[in-house]
Amino acid sequence: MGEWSFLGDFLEKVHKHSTVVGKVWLTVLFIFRMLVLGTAAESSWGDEQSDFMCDTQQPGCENVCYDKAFPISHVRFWVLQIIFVSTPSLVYMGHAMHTVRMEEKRKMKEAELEAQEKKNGGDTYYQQKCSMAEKEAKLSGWDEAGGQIILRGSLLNTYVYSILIRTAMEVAFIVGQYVLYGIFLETLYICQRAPCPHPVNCYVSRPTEKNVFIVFMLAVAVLSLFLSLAELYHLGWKKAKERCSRAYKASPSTAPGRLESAPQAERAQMYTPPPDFNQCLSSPNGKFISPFSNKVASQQNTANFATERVHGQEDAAGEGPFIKSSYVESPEVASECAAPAFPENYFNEKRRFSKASRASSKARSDDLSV
Amino acid sequence: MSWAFLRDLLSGVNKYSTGIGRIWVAVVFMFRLLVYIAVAENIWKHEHDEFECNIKQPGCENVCFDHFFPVSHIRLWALQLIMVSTPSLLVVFHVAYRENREKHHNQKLYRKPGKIDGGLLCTYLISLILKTGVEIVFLVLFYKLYNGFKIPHLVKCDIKPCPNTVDCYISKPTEKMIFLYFLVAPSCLCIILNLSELSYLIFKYSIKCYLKRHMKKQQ
Repeated sequence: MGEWSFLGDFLEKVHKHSTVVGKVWLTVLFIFRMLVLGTAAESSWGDEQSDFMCDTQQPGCENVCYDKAFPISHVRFWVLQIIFVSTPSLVYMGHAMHTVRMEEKRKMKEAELEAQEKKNGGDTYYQQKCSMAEKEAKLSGWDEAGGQIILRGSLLNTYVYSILIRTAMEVAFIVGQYVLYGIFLETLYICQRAPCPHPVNCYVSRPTEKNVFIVFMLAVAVLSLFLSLAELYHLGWKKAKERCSRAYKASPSTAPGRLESAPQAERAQMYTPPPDFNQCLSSPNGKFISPFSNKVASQQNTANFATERVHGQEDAAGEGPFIKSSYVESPEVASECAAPAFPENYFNEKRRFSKASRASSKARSDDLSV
Repeated sequence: MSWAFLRDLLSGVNKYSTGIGRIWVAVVFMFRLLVYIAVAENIWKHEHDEFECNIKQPGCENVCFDHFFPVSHIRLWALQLIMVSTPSLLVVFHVAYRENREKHHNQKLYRKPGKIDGGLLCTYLISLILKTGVEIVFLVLFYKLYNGFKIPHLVKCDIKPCPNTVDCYISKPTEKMIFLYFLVAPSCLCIILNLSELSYLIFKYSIKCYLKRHMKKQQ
């Protein structure tokens, strides 16, 4: 069992920087595979060759028959399985440790810079460097407060690839075990191989006990496979969300083509005025007043969409929409009380919204219906 | 057999290694040390008892086994693991020497005792060359001693006191062969890692030297 402490120490570090499902997978690996293998299974297979009996006195027949029946022992096969299944996690850990080391180097550089600048007394340069370093830290995915690695960017990619490879290895080993031995071990093995003079009955030692462990280890392998797939699904969902938010941040306007694919109801909802605009119209008392109902606004929006569809292509090809905004960015907009999102028919008119119009509570003919 | 000492040694080496060096340590741990301890020792445990010859002549089995396995695979494997890890001690000793020197003189003599530059670079390169050399020597030894990396299930033996050519059967030949490949493949991988680390370090520091000289000339 001591030999597994080597691997255990490595995997402890991986445990720290994994997702919840990853932590469960590691726990399953530790307890149900390593521990069981090291304690119970090894002793069950301990006398596998010495108690492998063949019904013959021909010297050498037992050796060759055992070799034919078990080209690789179950226990050794499972050890290889654990090693190969753990290896991708170690690759991820290597990447994570590299990130940690880069972060530590960055901190040291910052500290050095701070000391240097305090000596020289040049503030602006230091501030610039600090902000640059902070940006680098954000990109690297390191959370200062928690001391945790955040799974994003290249680290997330490494994590996903490691899980993919791990899944492939699990499947390969499960299939390999089935191909080599089938599922259950038979008590009797009929062997015909030189120097055995004829087909000889050979008897496996402790077949029932071995079968119990075989089924157990197979079940745990399937459970690990399931956990890996669940983690992939969870990460795939997370990555898709990340990509969507990045896409919205990068290009705030959605192309007209994309709009058309979304269902109308969604579109109608997307284009109801954002809360920030309403806040701009709030009463002097500071109470929030909604000057129009959502229902009326959505009806107007449906009409606007009809117009939009006609002009949509022109906008895309031509000078492009005059004002671009996205509902994802609405928090920023709220702070400035700047231009709210408007459907694209407004862009046709190339009207710049003055501050006065935004602040005014007067309904204008071209505004969203109230 | 406690391999914890080797593990602690290699963990210490990890601190003063380059990135490739760390990969080398991980390969040695995972694919060599762990496989050896968890698997190989058990396969080769009863190799002599399970070695069977088709003869009742006392002593025949002993001499035949001794002829075909002058040094058991497993012992050679253990020796290889130890000899391959030992050159890394040179680096650890050199860093300890630097730290000692700084303490003795009570002043900062080096920018950072663990940083690979100057004399420590030479020590590191020497350790890499030694490691590679040891790997190659052991691979060649394995190849020569056992006629390639194959383990047959039957060998023919006619050494005294065996009265005639006798069939002798080796136990678990297929399993032993699989794990012999597990010895050879990571060995080759480690050789490649050592050579790439060597070339990387030489390239990096020659560029550094060249740039330094270039800057000096400009000044």
